[in-house]
Amino acid sequence: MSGQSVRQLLKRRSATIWRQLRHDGQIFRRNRLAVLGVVIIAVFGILVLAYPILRATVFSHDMYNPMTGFDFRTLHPSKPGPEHWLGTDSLGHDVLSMLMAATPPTFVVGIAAALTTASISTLLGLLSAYYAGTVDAIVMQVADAFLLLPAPLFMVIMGMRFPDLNSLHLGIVYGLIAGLGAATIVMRAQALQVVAKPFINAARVAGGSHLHILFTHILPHMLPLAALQMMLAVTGAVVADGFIAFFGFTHNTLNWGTMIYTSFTYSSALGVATEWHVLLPPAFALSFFAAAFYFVSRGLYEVADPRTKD
Amino acid sequence: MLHYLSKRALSSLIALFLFVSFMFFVTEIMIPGDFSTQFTEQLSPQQRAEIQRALGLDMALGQRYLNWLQDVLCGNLGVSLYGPSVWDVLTETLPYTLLVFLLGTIIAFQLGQKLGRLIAWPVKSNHPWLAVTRKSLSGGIALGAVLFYTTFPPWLAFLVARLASRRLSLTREFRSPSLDPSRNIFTTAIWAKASLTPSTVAVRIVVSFMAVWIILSWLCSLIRRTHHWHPPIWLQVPVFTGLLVGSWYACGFGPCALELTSIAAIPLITYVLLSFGETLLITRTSMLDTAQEDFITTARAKGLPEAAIRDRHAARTALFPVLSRFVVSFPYMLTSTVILEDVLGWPGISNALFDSLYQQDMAVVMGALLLVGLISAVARLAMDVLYAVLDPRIRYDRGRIRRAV
Repeated sequence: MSGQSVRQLLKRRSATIWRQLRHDGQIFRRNRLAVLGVVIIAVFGILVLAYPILRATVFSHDMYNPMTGFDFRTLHPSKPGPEHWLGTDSLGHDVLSMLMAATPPTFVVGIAAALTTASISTLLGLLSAYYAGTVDAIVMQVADAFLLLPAPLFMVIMGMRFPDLNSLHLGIVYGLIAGLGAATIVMRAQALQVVAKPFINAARVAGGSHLHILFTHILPHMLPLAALQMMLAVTGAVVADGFIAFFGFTHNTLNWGTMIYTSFTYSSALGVATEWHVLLPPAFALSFFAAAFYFVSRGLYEVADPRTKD
Repeated sequence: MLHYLSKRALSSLIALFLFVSFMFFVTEIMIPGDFSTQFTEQLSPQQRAEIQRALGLDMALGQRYLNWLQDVLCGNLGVSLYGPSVWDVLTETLPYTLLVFLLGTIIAFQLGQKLGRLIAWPVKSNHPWLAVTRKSLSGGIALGAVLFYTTFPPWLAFLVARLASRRLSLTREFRSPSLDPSRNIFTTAIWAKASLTPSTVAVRIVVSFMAVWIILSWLCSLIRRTHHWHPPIWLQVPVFTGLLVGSWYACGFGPCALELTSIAAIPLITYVLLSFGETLLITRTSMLDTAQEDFITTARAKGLPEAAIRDRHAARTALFPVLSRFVVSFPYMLTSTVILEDVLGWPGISNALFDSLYQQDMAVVMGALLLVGLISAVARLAMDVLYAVLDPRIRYDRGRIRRAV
């Protein structure tokens, strides 16, 4: 094959992929909630980017330290004001800077869980559907067993025993449990539909190896659904991570769940009224973060669903 | 059908076995030390070794696993290290969990389904303003459902408990989440007089709820078939409530049941709010798809009323994606119940689980986990049956699903 024709082939390939992406984008954009989800994620992304800049410029090192920060000029907890936009909590931390500092770990948990879930479930679903028989039976039996094990519960048990686990570990643990259980079952169902299509037989007749068929013919059809699983995993993992922090099992204080826990603990320990300005921001941040990924997953579902394709 | 079911049952038994074995080794390996470790300071090494020998903790892990498995197979779940048998601990706590989980799931499912089918169905309206209002309203409901679905459960529990205690005075006292050490919430005078324990009352509430629900839905379908009239929802709900409360008083445990329900309201409401969103969203999506199908056009061409097309032609088809999602999300809903219980101090199975984990009372922990797995497995099997019964297109043949088109 000459270099000219290879280049042409690549060009045509990329044009097809580009057209497909644009079409998918249109379907995605039709779902307004999905667009809202992307916007919310973008806002959290800005928070992540802004935090180091603010730490370097506006936030003085001592006063805004998420662990030891304390403002000596006021009494704590203080109401929102020009100095502290969201006020300070009972320990003297600035709420806004805590909120921003807790955003990157949350992203880490979510992304680690998403990648683990998607890769495990896609691979297992693929192999299970393609090889059928014994492989399928074993994979499905294991998946059934893991389906009985709810990941948040397992993570709380893990968190109780290993309080030093960081966000990355927790994300991977969640991803393992969720990926081996529910996600594998869904991905296998999708892969079964693809395997039954005539073009797989055609590829086999043309002499394609198992690896070739698995990864160039079946895998691309599973990617939208894998993306959907990733989004769902983010939602689940972030909430489960919040559980561990909320129950006070983790030593990781940079966490929205920990902020909620602290606010509850101090308001009841000191016998004061609930500090809404301390409680609301992390609670809403957690909800919105989880909801944003759920919205995106609904949009992706419509992209992946063959019925919405014209 | 029978063949398929027996195969499914066998498979879920194996799954349950795998799950329990996995959890046994995970909890035993992950947790350093054993029951005697927490008393190390007061005990000499000899005393400690004696305790370990007495409790069988000095045996190898594999041996302990085999012993435990043998006991479970003989129906003996073991004894808690604090005295009562595991079976007693579980039967004392399980009714509370079932009360919230079973009732909450049914209510959430109904709510999500009804709302979902309402907001998804297009209404032809001549008035442009009405259409706009409807559209924004249904969008708002969908948005709210997702926000509830993804809220952080302890925080939602806090809000509901606060609202209920301050504004509606539904409950006697408001308990700050997960921080109140006193777990006994049954202290009012009613329980002193009552001959029944709260957990017995909880069992009876669950049973009567299910019974009234089944009878009422059977009655509704009877009326629909004979009189071609579907009882509207605003009639069904009061009749249901009336029958339920009436049956409580008729059986003579009315005051206790009402008292228990008023305490259970907070976990129940929280749980329903948390879990109705998913049903609603999936119903909405699949109703939107179904509305385009040919058989809907046919039904409309026959001149059927719009509500009948929506509820009986479209909603029935739209049920399947919901059910298949339900199967997968069941364990998660069970977990959210367990965590809510812990947050709200509701004396369900989470007590057995979390407290025993702290105290390394492994017999109780494994019993509770076995129960969690068992509930999920049974629920999953029930879903399979429901699926097969509801969809006439699916026939279970030699253990394989065949779709006859």
